[in-house]
Amino acid sequence: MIKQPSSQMHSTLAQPAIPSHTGVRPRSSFFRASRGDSPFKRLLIHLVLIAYCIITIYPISRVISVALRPGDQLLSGDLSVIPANATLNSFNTVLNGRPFYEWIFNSLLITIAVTVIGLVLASTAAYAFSRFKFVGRGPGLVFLLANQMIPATMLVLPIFLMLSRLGLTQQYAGIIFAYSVSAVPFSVWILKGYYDTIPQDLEEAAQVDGTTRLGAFWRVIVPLSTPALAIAALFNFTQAWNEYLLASLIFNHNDPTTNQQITTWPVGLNTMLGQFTSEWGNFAAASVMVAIPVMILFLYSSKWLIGGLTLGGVKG
Amino acid sequence: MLTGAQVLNGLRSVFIFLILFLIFVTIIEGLLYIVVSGVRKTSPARLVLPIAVAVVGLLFMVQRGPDFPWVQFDLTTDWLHILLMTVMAEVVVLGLLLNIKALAPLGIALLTIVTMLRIGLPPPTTITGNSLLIDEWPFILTAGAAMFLLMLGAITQPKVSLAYMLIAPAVIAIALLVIYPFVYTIFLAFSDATANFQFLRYGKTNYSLQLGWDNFTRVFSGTLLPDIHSSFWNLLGITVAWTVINVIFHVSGGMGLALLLNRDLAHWSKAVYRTILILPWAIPGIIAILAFSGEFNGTYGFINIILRDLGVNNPPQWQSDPNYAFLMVCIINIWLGIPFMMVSILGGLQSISKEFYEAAEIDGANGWQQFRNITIPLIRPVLTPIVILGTIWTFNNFNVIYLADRQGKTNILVTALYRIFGDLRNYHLAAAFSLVIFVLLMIFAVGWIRLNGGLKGVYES
Repeated sequence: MIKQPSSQMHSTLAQPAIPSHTGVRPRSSFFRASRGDSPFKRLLIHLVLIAYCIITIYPISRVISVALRPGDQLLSGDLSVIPANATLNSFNTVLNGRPFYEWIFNSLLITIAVTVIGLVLASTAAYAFSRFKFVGRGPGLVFLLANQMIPATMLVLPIFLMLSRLGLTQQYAGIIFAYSVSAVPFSVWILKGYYDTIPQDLEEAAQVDGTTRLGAFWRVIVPLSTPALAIAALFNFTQAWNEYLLASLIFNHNDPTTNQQITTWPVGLNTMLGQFTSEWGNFAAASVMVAIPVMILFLYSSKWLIGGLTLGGVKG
Repeated sequence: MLTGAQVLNGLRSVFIFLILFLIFVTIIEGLLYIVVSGVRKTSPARLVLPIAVAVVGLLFMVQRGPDFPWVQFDLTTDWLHILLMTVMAEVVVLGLLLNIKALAPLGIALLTIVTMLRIGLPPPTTITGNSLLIDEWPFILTAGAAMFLLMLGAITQPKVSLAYMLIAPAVIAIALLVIYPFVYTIFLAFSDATANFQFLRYGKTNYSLQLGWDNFTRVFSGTLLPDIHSSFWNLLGITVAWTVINVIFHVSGGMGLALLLNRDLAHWSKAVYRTILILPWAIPGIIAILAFSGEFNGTYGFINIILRDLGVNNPPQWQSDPNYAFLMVCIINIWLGIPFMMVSILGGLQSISKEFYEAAEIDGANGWQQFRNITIPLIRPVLTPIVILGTIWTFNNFNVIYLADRQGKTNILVTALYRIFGDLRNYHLAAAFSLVIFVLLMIFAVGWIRLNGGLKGVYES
């Protein structure tokens, strides 16, 4: 087994390009030589990457093209990305003729509340796991890991039954309660890993200055761990935002004549694609409107998100 | 359309829920705090009060369960109660933060009084003839047991009692939302519960060992869904095939792309490729799945249009032919899963020092030998956990198959499970079936732990 130089162990950022052993830095940056890659080989690498990029992008661009099609051309054999006679009619229908705002509002409200609660639960628990040696710590951490293995499909039925027993299936409170711990185990692991890297002297100094242990946690640890808290918040957010199982179970069990139900966007979008009346244009338009903010958020935060994932993953 | 009243109603109920959460947390913390301060002054009589408060509070909550008046506040008439509850909760929090010992018990006492006034004494003992105390006892038992364990820990280890206070909210929430459902599933597996009003509303159903035996034998011998190919062993075979195919393609595809991206390409071109290649991960999964499944439409989806342009006369009917449906969900899931693997592996590759490759090149090792003897051993610490995670995620992947395969031609274990309770409403069979799936997963986990030398890392860190 080869041991790595320790200075390199934790650098996951792209390293600066070191001139190869020829000692000459080539001019062309697009086809820069490295590790003996011939120009032909480099061309091949670019071709393969470009080919896979097309495989990645084309299905996505199709959603936009379907959303832009006029109603009478929804089912056509057209392959172009921007269709002829592109129109925004589908967007108009979704915004004005479907309860789109309601779905987004419901999802947003539930997601924000779940994120707040999940963060409170996870950050305090992670602090205990990071700083104290108490009976049940090891088993607790293992349990949190094992939690990842339980299929969500398995727990969704008893949780649904519990909510319907408490009369909470039609209420925000019930849905928020049911979602609240879904991302907590993972968040605890991420936050614990981060707290472990903060030296304990800082809290002790704060306690010497006259605050309590909890005061030190609130005034020292929480501000210092903002990056990890952001990752945990993002996990809670995406988990609740994309939840489909319980939402659809509640939706399926509802009496469709009562309009009391709380429909989140995943369920709403899915209802647009019924067995017999698929509103592809409207579906695509709604998808574009839901996906673009989420994609921007994801791409913007992807660096931290990926760091957090490997942090949680490597430990497991 | 979204009306102003709906918005107000939504905001109001979420606001109230957050306050209730705060109250819930402070009650737990206050009780633990009383216990701890009681222990430190070695006066066991102090334990009586918090335990009594906990029990009474839980009984109240459960007895009023169906109405759940806690969340049906009206802001216009109940603002005083809400305000009072918030103030009380804040008093407790302040007492804890500022280390003023008298404040916490005071806050809890006031909080309890206000809450009871709000709920109204005495509570109804029965609701339409069904005592909810009896039907909901596992629910109480789980929360009570969690609280009891926390108190026990705080009493026996007063030096780290703060740790128990810090984990208490999460422990109780997990107990209610993971452990209680799990235990309840075991009960359901020994019942004949179906979706009738009596069961959904009041949990009334029959339990017996004979029913449990019937449920479990039906899982292993009969067909689980109306489809004749849905015996347990058939579903297990499909699930294993699905998991293996997907993980192999995810890892090899992700590895291939990561290796290409790790060559010294121009910095900006790398950034562009990376951004484009992680797009399938960035899109909300449900949208990607639904949109992609539409493109497998036999006549109008782009896949068959391209196939026809390439000269295939009878392109497959992806949605209606079971074999092609399986191929379709695999293609969709592979497309969705490669970016995660690629990004994780790329992170590992970038942390490998280039000196190794330079040394190997001087020694005359070719590309494959370098990959085999340098890249693979050094990337293993990153690769092993993500492969395990990927395997579990794929095994449990519900969304792709359920949403993409609109006609239900393909089923793995978890989608069959959902169809049993979601579509067929056969709760007792679903409960038995889900326990079998859980046991399978546990066997896999234990086997993996044995192979990897236990969970030492978890305890040490």
